[in-house]
Order: sequence, then C-alpha cells, then structure tokens
Amino acid sequence: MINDQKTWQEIPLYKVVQSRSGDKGDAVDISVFSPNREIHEALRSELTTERVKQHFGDYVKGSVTRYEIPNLLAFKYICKDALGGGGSGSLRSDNLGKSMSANLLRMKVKLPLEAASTSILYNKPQGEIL
Amino acid sequence: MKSVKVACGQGFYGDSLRPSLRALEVGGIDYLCFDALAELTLAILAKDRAKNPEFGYTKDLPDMMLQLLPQAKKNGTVIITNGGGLNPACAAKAIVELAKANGIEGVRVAYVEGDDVLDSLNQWQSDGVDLSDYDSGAEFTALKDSPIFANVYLGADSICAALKFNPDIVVTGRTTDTAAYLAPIQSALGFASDDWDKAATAIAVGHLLECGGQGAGGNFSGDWWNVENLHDIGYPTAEIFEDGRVIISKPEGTGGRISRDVLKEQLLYEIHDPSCYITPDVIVDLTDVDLVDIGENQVELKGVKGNPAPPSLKLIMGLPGGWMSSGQIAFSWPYALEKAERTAEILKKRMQTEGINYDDLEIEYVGVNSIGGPTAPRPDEDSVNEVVLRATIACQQQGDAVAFRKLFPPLYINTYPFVGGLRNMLHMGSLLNQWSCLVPRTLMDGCVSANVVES
Repeated sequence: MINDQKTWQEIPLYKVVQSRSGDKGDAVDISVFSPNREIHEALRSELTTERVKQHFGDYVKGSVTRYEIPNLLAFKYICKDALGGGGSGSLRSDNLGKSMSANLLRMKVKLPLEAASTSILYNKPQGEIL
Repeated sequence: MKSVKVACGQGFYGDSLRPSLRALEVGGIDYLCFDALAELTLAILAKDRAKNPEFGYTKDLPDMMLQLLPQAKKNGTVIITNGGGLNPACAAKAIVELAKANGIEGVRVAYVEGDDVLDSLNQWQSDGVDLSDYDSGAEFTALKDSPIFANVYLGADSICAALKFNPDIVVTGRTTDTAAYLAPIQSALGFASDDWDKAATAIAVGHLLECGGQGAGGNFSGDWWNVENLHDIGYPTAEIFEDGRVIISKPEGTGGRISRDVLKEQLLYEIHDPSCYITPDVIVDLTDVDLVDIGENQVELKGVKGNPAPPSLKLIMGLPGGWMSSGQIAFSWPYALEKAERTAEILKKRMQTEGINYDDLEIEYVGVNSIGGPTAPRPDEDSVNEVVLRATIACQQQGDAVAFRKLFPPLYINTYPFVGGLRNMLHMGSLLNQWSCLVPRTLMDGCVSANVVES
C-alpha cells in the first residue's frame, strides 16, 4: 500500500477530518469526513472497525459497523452498546454521545502528509483571546 | 416553476425562539416547522398530564405561538409543530384561547390525534400483536411496571389531513421530526405519496433542517473558528422545486453558515445505515447523495433515492427506570486529581456504611475524563488546575437516591483541602427505559384523525 514516493506520517485525526456523533438508543453513530479522496482512501485501510473498537476500549462494549457515503468522502461507524444504557438511562456526563467524535479524533493514523496538510483543520491559526 | 419554501423554527423542547422570529422578519417562508419531542420529553409530559388532564403538551407552546402569530399571519406562513405531545387537542385550544385573550382573533389551529396508544396495548397484546422490544428481544409480558407513555410514530399523511383545514398552525403529537417537512412539501407540490424519490428527498430536507442550529454552523467540526455571528444564528431553510431540485439556505443577514461542509455533518447525523433510513413515509437511500455549494450560504441537495414505505410503524414506550442521584465536589491544585480520586474511595466506603443500594455507580473527573472516558490520557498532576469529582448512582428506591446526595455536603469539609463550587452541586431525577417495537401499519387504520379549533 505504502510503496509510493509520498511521505506518510502518524497524524492525529483532529488535524485532518471533520466528525459528528450522536445517539440512537444505546448505540453511538459517528461520521468521519475526509478533506480529499486521498485521505478518504487512506482511512479505508487505516480506520477499520477493529481499530475503532480497540480505541474506545471499555466505552464501546458491542460491535462496530462501517458504512461508506462516497460522494461526501464519508465513513460512518455504528458502535453498539456504547452509551452506558442509552440517552435517558445513561449516567454518563455525555449521555447523548455528542463527544464520541472528539474521542475518536484523538486517534493517530498513518496518512499521506501532503494530502493531510491541505485540510483547513491542519493549519488552524493560534486561538485569539477575544 | 412551482416551488415551496420551508424553514426550521425549533430543534428541540427549550430551543430559542429568536431564529423563528428572524425567519419571519426576513419573510418568504411558506411553512415554519418545529420539533419539540425527544424520547424523554414524552415522559415529562406524561407527568404533567397525570397532574391535570388539560395538560400534557409542551408548556411553552401557547406563548411561543402567541409571539409568532402576528407576523406569521401577515406573511401567510403556516406553522407546524409536534409540541402537542400527549395532548394535541388541549394544546390547540390553549393556543386559540391565549391568542384571543391577547386580541388576536380569527386563529385556526388544526390538530392530529391518534398516536397515543397507551390504552390499546392490552387489547393488542391479547390479539397476538408482537410487542417485544426489538433491541433486547425482551417479551412485553415480562414487564414489571406499566408504561408511562406509548406512542406510534405517525408520518406525513396525518399532517397532510390537518393542512386541508387551511390552518394557521398545525399541532400534532408523536409525528416524526421529518414528517413536519414532507407533509407541507407534498401538499404544496402535489406529488403522489408513492413518488418515492421525491418523498425521500423531502425527508432528507427535513433531516437537514430539523435540528435547527446544527444544520447552520452550530456544532460544526470543520473550521468552526471562522463561523460568523453565532449569537444571531439563522436556522436552515429549503426551497423545493416541482422538478425535484432543492436549495438549502438560511434567512438573509442572519449568522451561522450554510455550506457543503456544514450540511454533510447534519445529513448523516444519527441515521445509522445510510442506505436504509426508515421513516413511516418512505425508506430513504442516501448512498449516492451529494451536496454542492452553489453560492454564498446556498447548497444544492442531490441524489436522494427512495424505496416504498415499510409495512410496520415504530411504537415507542417509556418505562420507569428507577432513580438517578448525582453529586459533585471541585478540588483545586495542587494534587487536585489525586484528592478527587481519594475522595471517591471515601465516598464508596460511606455508601457501604450507610447501606445504600444501587444498580450502577459512575465516577467521573470533570476536566479530566468525564466526556473522554478511557480515551482521555491521564494528565500530569501539576498541569491540572482544578478537577470536579462527579459521582452518580442509578437505584430503584427514591430513599437510596436521597441518602446518596446527603453524603456529599460532609465531604466538603471531612476530606481534603481547597474545595470550591459548592452551590447547586447535587442532582436527582428519574430514569427512563425505552422500549421500541414495530407494529403492523394496519393497526392504526381509522385511529388517526385531524380536527380544528378556531376563534
């Protein structure tokens, strides 16, 4: 896979992709959007259901399924048994799973550096104090 | 070419009214659609109705409608809301009466009833309808407690029937969030209810709009720091043309952002299998969906496909899930995290001494791992300025929930130094278990009706 001339590097996902997560019962639904096709294709082999499940550890007790929405350069991960009982029964602070995206975005993934660095998130300016 | 313009007015019970007022101020909207019902909301409304049979609708509904009615009537904008909750008839009456008391006459409110099936459950069960929970597989007969509420998700046909009264406002109970959009689009453009691609496109429009700010630059994970004027965010609007073309936008001059990058996050939000997003009206296939930036704050939605409506409807029940009780205590640097962790151990021993019975205990360190869980790395102790220990139990008896909260105030002086944030640190409430099943659509034949109240 990685036999081209490009530089590949371990990069945290929050610097490259968009993501939104939410709940449905006790399942968490996480979408991941790549800034370009090259990153999307890299994620196909890097951001597998196995790696996602492993990353979440105890937080995701059930299965992880992946779907693809090609025109939007998106993968969607459905994580079962992942909210400590689901929205209205969960004791967690994040009972609706809205921060599960942030938790996924911590993951470091091997990506082609040049394609990753074109993401607007890669070059976020230093925060200003308003 | 014929077209219809719909806008989002509310994304949830408790949402701001300002975006609706701004949408009406800017004008050009045919239908303003509100979603007020999350799963838990019906449990709250059931308690209201138990106290007074005239209640059971979202309490803020009459006053919200009063504030919107003058401009909506002037513009000819029809409002559609599911805020009728468990009592759409009384909600409709309350809106008309409050408007009249404030000098607004000639108000017509249509309402939809029939989704509340709590009283039919026993009959259905003895008729052999399968009411087992589709998530757990548990049998309905095994229920310890009777449900707090039981509602069937109704689709757009019920709202279309209400729109025939030519109302100012349509109030429903548990209709789907997206039906509030499909119904007016279908009524206005007149396509057949089995034109599955057009119906699916209208549902996708509803899905993009129904969460309000989340579809206009709120909660945006792209370049969020560049989204302007979120204090005056405009909720999304959509213009749907007779030939199926759809343009998503927002009221001119409002804050937030409409773009492909913003909308793609909302389009896939909470839909699970994108090839099979099931609604009572149509099964939506988003496999080939696309969003195209066509101008500033203007995006075209393309490629939505539809498959025939499913033979069954979703029935949701709320079951009493016992109690939750939660307490917090904030520790300051130095050694904030270590102190919080030691205090959690003290709390556990105190629970044992007091004999508190509980089903589940969740210990979180706010500022360290309360939303990151096991994915959040442990910080260097010296970098932790402060940390809040949050401990929560689930229990069956109210007495245990009360006993748990009583353990907290003494911890503020009996444990470790430099605590803060001691006001409003206790929370107690009831928990809800959801029960979902699929029932044959034909069970609802003749049960759903639309009526009207007017002044």
